[in-house]
Amino acid sequence: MNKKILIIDYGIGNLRSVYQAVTHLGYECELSNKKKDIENAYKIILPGVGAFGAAISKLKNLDLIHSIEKFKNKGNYLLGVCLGMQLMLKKSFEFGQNDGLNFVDGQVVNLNTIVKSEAEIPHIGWCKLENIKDSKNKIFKNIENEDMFYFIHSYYSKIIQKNDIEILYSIYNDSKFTSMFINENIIGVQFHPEKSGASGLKLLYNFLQL
Amino acid sequence: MVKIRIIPCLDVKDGRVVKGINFLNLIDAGDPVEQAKHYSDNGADEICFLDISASLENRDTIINVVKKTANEVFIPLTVGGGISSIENIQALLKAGADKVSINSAAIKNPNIIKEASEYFGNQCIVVAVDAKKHNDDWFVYSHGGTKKTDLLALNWIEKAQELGAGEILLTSMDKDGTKSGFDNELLGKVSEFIKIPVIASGGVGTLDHFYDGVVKGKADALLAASVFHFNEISIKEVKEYLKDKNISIRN
Repeated sequence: MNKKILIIDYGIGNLRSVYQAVTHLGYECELSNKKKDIENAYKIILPGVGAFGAAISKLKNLDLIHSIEKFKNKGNYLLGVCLGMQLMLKKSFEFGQNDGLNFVDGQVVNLNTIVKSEAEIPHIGWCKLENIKDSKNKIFKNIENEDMFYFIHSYYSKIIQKNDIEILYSIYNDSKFTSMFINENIIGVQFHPEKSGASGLKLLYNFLQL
Repeated sequence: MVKIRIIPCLDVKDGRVVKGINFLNLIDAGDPVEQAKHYSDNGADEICFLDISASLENRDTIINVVKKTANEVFIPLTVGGGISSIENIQALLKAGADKVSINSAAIKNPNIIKEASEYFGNQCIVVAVDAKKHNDDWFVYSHGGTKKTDLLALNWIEKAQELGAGEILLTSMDKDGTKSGFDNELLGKVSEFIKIPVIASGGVGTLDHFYDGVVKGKADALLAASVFHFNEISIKEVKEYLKDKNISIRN
């Protein structure tokens, strides 16, 4: 089987960093926005920065949504990074309402709904995954409680239906928010593993090894 | 708690680092990629490049520097200096920068902040402000601190926030190069006044100054150049010092 990693290139965000990190870890990867490539991929990373509405429109315009669903239903691993994670939820409230890929029952909501009013938004900085020690998932191999990851976001993923979904959380200004979810083969990370130094590379490597 | 970020800033001219010294193990102190990697390996939370190339042609060299850095350094990279258009920003982000900092171009045409933040997301648009005190007010300077404007720093920063800036990189021209500490009066005023993170810059000379920047200046991130480049203080020392004083940092 072709074990290339596919990064969905839908014309949004800085794909180069993700690409470089995967290559640095010794894996071959390719950027693509072709339906056939996505449906037949071995493993996919869905990156993204910017606004939810614009991103989901681009996926729609490229007619990729059905292909991503098809890929997901095969049980292969899909990693959503930052906005890529948020896109996997049911809906978003960033600049109006938009429907997402609906792989996980949840909503993308502003951090200002949970943090204290004096907290700065966007949240930019490094956080631990607070409950990482409770997880036995292989994606956390060699990752310690003290490992930190780089976040830069104004919205977060509020998971509604939590059954069977593993949720990791981080703390910003005393408030808990979802920093990662694992729903079988669907994994979302709010942080940027490709920008989180050695800790991020470890996690990305573990994903590539799954 | 928010983890205070420590950001070394490298001045890059025509693709080479100026005022860098030779750290142990570095083959070429003038190579920005090697310098960035050194800082990343030693605990920097982000890296900042300030392009001070004089001519337009030489500015293109920064694109290559960013590309090479992104191949080897896996922490956030901010690039500033001479950015004047959406095309400039796009080229830098595409090359691997995570954020760009805009200064004079935003003063000349504030709308670039709005356009850029709508297009690329406000998380990657840093507005850099050089401020100097005249009597009781701080005024904004443009063109690398050479031209005084009529803008009051607080007003301008508030406007930048409204237009979509994701962060403010605030340099005190009174303090820059003095090693007498950050301008905590200015920083404190700005940090209280706005909702987006503030990066303190200019004046740091001792470990205490970093601490004061957080406690008195209420900065979210601390940027320094010469103390790191001349190996007077290491990033590790800063972090240990802050941690001992109960400031939350990334280990």
